Amino acid sequence: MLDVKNIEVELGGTTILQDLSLSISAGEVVSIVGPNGAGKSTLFAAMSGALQSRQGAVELDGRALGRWSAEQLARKRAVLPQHSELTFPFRVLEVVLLGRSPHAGYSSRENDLVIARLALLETETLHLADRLYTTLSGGERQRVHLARVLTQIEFCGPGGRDETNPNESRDRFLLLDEPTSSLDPAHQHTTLQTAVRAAERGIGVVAVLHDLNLAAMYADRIVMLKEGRIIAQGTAVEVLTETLIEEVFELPVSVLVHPKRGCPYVIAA
Amino acid sequence: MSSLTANDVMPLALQRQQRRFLVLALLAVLLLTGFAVSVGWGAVGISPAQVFAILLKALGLGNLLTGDVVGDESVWAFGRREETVLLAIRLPRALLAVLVGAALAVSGAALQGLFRNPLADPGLIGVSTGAGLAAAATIVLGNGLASFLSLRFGFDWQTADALPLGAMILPLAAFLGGLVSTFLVYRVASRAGQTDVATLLLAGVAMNAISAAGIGLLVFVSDDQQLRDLNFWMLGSLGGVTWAKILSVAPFIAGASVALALFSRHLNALLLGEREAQHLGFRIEWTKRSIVLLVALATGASVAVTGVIGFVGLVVPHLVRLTMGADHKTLLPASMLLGASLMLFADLAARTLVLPAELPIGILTSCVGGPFFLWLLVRARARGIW
Repeated sequence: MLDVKNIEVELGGTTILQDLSLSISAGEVVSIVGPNGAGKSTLFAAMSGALQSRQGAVELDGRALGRWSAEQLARKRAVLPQHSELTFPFRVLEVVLLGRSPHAGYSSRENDLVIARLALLETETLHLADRLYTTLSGGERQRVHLARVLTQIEFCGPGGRDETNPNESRDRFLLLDEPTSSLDPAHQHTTLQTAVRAAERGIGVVAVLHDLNLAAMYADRIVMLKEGRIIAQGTAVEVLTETLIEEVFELPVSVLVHPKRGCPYVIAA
Repeated sequence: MSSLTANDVMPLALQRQQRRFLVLALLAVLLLTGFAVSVGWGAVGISPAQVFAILLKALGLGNLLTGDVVGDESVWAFGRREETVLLAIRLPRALLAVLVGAALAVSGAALQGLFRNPLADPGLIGVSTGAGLAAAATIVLGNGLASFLSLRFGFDWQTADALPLGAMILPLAAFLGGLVSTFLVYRVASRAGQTDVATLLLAGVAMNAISAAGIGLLVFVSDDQQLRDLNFWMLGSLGGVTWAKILSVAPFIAGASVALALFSRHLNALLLGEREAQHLGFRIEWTKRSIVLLVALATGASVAVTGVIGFVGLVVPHLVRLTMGADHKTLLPASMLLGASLMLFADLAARTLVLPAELPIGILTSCVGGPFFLWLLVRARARGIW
């Protein structure tokens, strides 16, 4: 369980998040949507532990993020940033294996390689394994980093109880910040299908998305933010209504029904 | 698009591992060769066999070579002259070259990783000159301070029983100078966990200018002897080193360099960005502080004995990256080996090119390193790195 409890965040004198609470369970895909400046990135940063809230707390398995050791936390949750600063000539396989850093001492080299290979397969980047990261396109880079974070939380590994510490769950969480921003349409879908498969294996997935239709198709729950508050949350049918979208995004829309999937389909009016 | 079969990741990793060991082994051979050539070459020629025999004797194992082996015609035979030259002059000098070369190279590699920029170097961002200023201040003002202290309090750090303290003061001052200037440059260039590279290099330029002005001022007030000492500082040289000097700094240089090499996993993660490294489970603030401290220690202690030797920290990691990629697990040890080798060869050139005089090695490394740096800048701009 990843719990955001009544957090309040202030940046440079402006209140960004106000008394916001949100709970993510293992095995569900939750999408955070909202207009620019709604506080999505701030909420994401708070949930990843990169940002301290002035009030309230973010708890993982009932323990505040700050009370986890960085390494323990890293074995339980991985964070995919919007873009990475990597400008050094690493091989793709080396980048993906960086995801195994928090498992040093707990995992064999062979095990690391098996997990890395599965993540490369999952993100359709196996053919890039020996390429220099710096020679990849933006979209390829984003998928390589997805493979890295999947490797970090053992996308294919066992869930359930932690044998070394039976009091601790082996719940894992994957936080994705606009994971589709530089992807072509096909890979936008494969990336979110990966998120769904991760959820099927017991990983809780949080994805900040700008494309409401992607959220409608793949999220179990959509959380809609505006001005630092949750305006609505629930299934796509409950949240993606013409009135709510118009109110939150200030954009007149028509909400249709997806001809094949039956989920809401949003187009600008 | 070439495509790999599913099981190709394992051989790929294995192949890179083998390549890594091969390169490290080759660099080790290069270092040993450089060492043998360096201690053997000069006005008094000493063959590797003689070097070996002298070292055995010095270690008290001379009786291992007995009988015909030590006859006058034997390759192992050596005279008193060879022994003295090797033990008193060549050996300490070569060891110092190894220590300083390894320390500067690994410091450069670590700084480049920490700042996520391949253009960082202890000399460019002001660590070396900051250490140089502090060392210069100690040379010029130290004696005055010492006599003041001994007059006022009867405390004399230059008497025999206080000698260890006296020998430590110069490296300590250089270390503190390096630390202070690194810290200042780092603070100026960092905001909200991000280090701005242009600001970093500019802050380094400013720090170098301030240190140069400080050293200039010290030159102005110094007497003839101090002027000679100072000149040695600014140009950098491995000459005139004694065992006592080496022993006073070796633990710092070697300890800090080896400790830096243990940060390979941290530095690899840091290349993704500080926040990403934190998400990967690394204690970022602690890591950054440790690396800066160790670089200041390794560089400062090096500068304390040799003066400012520029560009080794820039050029060496680059050469390694060109052939081996950016993985710090290889980069750090390989940089140490290559840095030590290059320093041995550079010192060999410095003391043999213009016989009977000796070129300051700092001039030599700058002659090569300066143009190399320009080439890097042109290349980085062409690729749009910054």
